Amino acid sequence: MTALEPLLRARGVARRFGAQIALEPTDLDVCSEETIALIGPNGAGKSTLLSILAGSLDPSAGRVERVNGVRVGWVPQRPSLYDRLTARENLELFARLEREQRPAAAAQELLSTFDLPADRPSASLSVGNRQRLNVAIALLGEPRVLLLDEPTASLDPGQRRRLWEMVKGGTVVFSTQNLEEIGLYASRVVVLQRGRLAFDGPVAEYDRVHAAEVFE
Amino acid sequence: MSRAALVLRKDLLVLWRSPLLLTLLIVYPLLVAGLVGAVAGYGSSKPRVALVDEDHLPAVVRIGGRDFRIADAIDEVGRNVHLVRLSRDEAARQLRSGRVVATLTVPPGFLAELKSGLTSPSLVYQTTHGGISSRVTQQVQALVYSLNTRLQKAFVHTDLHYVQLIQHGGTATFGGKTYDVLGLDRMHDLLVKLPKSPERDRVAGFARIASVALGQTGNLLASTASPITLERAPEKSRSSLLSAQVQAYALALTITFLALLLAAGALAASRVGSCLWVRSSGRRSRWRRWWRSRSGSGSPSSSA
Repeated sequence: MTALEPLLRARGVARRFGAQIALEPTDLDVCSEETIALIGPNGAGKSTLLSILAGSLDPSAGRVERVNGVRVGWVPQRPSLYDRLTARENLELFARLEREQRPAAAAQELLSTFDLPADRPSASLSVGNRQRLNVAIALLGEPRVLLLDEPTASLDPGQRRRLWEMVKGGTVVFSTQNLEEIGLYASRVVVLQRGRLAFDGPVAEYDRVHAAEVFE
Repeated sequence: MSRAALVLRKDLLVLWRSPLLLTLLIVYPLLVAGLVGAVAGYGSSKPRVALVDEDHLPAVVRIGGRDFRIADAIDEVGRNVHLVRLSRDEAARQLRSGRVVATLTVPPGFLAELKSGLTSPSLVYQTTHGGISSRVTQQVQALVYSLNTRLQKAFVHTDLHYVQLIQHGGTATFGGKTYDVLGLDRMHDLLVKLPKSPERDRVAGFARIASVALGQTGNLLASTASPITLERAPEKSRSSLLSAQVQAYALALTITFLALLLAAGALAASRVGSCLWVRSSGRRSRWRRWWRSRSGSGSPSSSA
């Protein structure tokens, strides 16, 4: 695949929750090797768009195409873990559900990569470790695209840096409220306002003054 | 291992590590079963019936040459009814308050009347209109039936003794005096020793026929006293019906476990909604579709 070859194509995806419109019809292509920052104020539709791209939320209209059935890793905003299972048990469970050939080995590799305490219940893990485990689970099955919903929202600067070290380099779409992360990690910026796509372009075209207006 | 088995194994592991849930899972069915069992036990418990003995029945009563133990008769009815001896006033008070469901009164002169054999004495039975009064009435009727059966045997035995005395002769005591009764057989023997005459032969013939006829009286009396008897055949079946109380326990446990299974299923489905569903990430795999069908629309979050 070339660098600009799309892996995900969203066409006219929209979502309503009752009478409330969370996302108006939106087109978005996610191409390989891109790191897309999805920004916007609270309620702009970021999580809704990411959930639709991830396939865990059905759009009210439109569709999402996965080119060649590309696999997607999904990191929801709140860590989706079984608190009474250990980090290893969580990883092995999802590895088996993802049909990993060697689930125990895959779990052990991720435990080592993310430096996670293996045999403590997930409930007793720190916020940073829970978020790392949240990301580690998303990496099972070797996804081509990683979707992260505010992955660093509750992390301190050191934890944020370590997390990015682990996920950067692939095709990533992440939502954030931290504008510094755009310059540090993103190659492209997508801005949502009140459920509408307000901006979609490379970071170089992105104006910080404009960004400030977005959050006013 | 199939995905369903994986999820089931995970749920069992989560359950095992949830002490509160596990405790509830064990305690709740036992609690419900205990409550249902207590209610069922109350329903099938022996109702209290007051026995008012105004004739002061002795422990042993001799009727028709046989001894009757009153306590045995009370024990027999006590298998299904809890008989308590009370005074007339106390019995009436407890009947009004509902502490006893019925009273059974032995009136004064009951035993003398029974021994005389001239008239049938009565027991006085009084009950409330409660739900179990019909059951108690049946029990008391069974008691009277049982007493009557025993007394009939005694009276038949006495009657037979008199018949045999008339038939064969012997000694008998009436009114404290002992008599030597000739009897038909011995009368026949004496008659045939007398000089032969048509009158002698006629009387002797009557004595012989009467003796033969009286010989059949025993069976007739017995069959008259109990035209039909009920025999209980020995149980050959391996299975036996469970008591109502045990059935109630079993039913309660079954219902409770079913409810808990449904609750566990709902719990599993909700957890699926929060973890497996969110994690499904649209791979359109079989397990995702399966969980989607189980957990409804399952939208993860509406916040953005």
